Amino acid sequence: MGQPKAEGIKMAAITMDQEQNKRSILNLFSPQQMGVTTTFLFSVFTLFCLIALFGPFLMPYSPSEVFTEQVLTPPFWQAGGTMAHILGTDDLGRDMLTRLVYGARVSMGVGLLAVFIALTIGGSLGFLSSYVGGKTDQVIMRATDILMSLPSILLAIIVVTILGSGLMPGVIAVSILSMPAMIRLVRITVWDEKEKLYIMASKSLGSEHKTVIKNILMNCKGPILIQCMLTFSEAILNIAALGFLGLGAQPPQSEWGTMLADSKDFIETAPWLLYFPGICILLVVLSFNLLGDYLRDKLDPKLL
Amino acid sequence: MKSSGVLNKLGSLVFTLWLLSLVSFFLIRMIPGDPVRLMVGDRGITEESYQEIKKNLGLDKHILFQYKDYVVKLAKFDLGTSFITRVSVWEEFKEKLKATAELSFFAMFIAISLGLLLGIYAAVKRGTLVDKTLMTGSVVGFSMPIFWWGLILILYVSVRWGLTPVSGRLSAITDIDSVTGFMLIDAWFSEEPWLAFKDAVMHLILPSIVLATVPLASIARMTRSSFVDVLSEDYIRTAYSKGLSKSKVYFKHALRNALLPVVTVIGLMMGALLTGAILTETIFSWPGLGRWLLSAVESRDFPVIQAGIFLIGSLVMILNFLIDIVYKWVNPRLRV
Repeated sequence: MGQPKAEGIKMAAITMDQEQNKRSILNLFSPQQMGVTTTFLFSVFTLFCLIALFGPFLMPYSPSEVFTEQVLTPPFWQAGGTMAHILGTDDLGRDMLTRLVYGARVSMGVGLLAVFIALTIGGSLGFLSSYVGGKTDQVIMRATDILMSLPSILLAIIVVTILGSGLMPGVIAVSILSMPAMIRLVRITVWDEKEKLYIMASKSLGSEHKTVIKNILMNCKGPILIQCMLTFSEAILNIAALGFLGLGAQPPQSEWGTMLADSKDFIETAPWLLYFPGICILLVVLSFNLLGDYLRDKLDPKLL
Repeated sequence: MKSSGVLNKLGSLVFTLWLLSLVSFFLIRMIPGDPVRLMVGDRGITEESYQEIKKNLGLDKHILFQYKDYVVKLAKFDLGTSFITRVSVWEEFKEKLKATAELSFFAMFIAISLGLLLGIYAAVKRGTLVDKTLMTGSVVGFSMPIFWWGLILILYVSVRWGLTPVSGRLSAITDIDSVTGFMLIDAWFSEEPWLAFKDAVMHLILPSIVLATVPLASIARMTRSSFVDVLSEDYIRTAYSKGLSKSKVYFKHALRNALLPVVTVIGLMMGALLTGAILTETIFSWPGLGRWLLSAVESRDFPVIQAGIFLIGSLVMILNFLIDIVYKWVNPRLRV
């Protein structure tokens, strides 16, 4: 009877909402909105993304190419440095810049993968937890409590030890680490949203689960987006930490954390081995965290 | 707060602890590698002595019986002995815990005192350049890969400027008897108390700075935002209009109320602090829990890993539980 009309109104409301949301999110990234600092950070981050994507094609060397005559060459601005190796070479004579560029690909890739895994698995669990509630909620939350009670790097160490050290186990470990926060955030946002009047109204109009879920999710995406950004920067830090402890990416692979671990023995003689990978990690994580802060302020001033 | 609330929380704590014991027990069994073979190393052994060692360790029984043994012993605080060092895990844990506790305590002292000060200062000067600089600084601190930060500090402070020792808890020449296990206290029982104390402090400075970095950043941020919120409350205006001085308003009226969320953040930091401790201990060769566990995982030292995970996890959970109670007790609004 009144069903088709109500359906039509709902659909119209949803499409309008979508249009508005799309526009406002794109607007957030315009330089006028962002101000000088955020624009700068956004550019830094975009630069790193571009480097990760296209950098390896521009590099004249391969990351494992060894220049035996040029072991531990300093960067070009120091005495003894050459333009052939702008940022110098490491203890085996590999080009630093090339390794950093390839390392960017690894770090960004790990970050993206971790976000993907955390979002699909953690997000679904969190959603399930609040949408179904009851026993399911209890079980999931208890499991989350346990995960959270363990110091994160310890948990990562255990996962890596079970699966063996390497980049992929590292990625899995890092994703598991970001799971509890994601589960909790999705749970609490969905919980808040599903109690709202418009969802109840939608339910009492006889909407299917699919529609209700879609509605809830559409209105939760701000906090979830921010959590994804946090997951990304955390994943980059964690994979580097694992690499540094010798549990993540293994030596021939150029990964920032592993490069730092290698540099430990040359602190005095070749400090450039120490500077650059750390600066890269810091810059990516920092720019991303600040962007996350900015988005948080814009999208949800209440959320701290 | 109603007592039933505390009981409820206690119940869920016990349940979570039990689950943790289950997880710590079974997770370790999933690690590839035979512990007996790993224990004897590359030397190789005869089949009989292999079986004997296995039997002595209780590894020949069905896994469910192994778990039963584990729980029974857990109840008696008997956590087994390390495969490698043959020392009781509980004894080792207590000793390593002291090293980590000393480091963490010092680090938290720096983080809390400095974090509160900087946060309040930024809040008072909100909107100014000082505030912006401090808050950008806090994001930098928050994003810092501390293993890199530690190495940079070693390079400059220890190696280049020669101000502090590079690693460890004490210099080789300093001789301290272990009385309490805390170097800063034990130093006073040694022959040259002042020198020993100075040596211990010097060794402690860099690791604590490294470990304090991330908590300091979050505490400063949290304090600032909470202080800014409180400053806009009506009762602050009332306090001003009573003619109170700025410092009285800040420290007597604002700080107390602003502290509540900060206390929560500090409580939540326990887990992160231990994570930081593992990395910091690795960089500075600090003989604490982190390095103990890391080497146990590397050598597949089952009892140590099992007990270590259980003990550290329980420690964090119990601390969080206590903080939760203290928090509810401090916050009158939650005391229903």
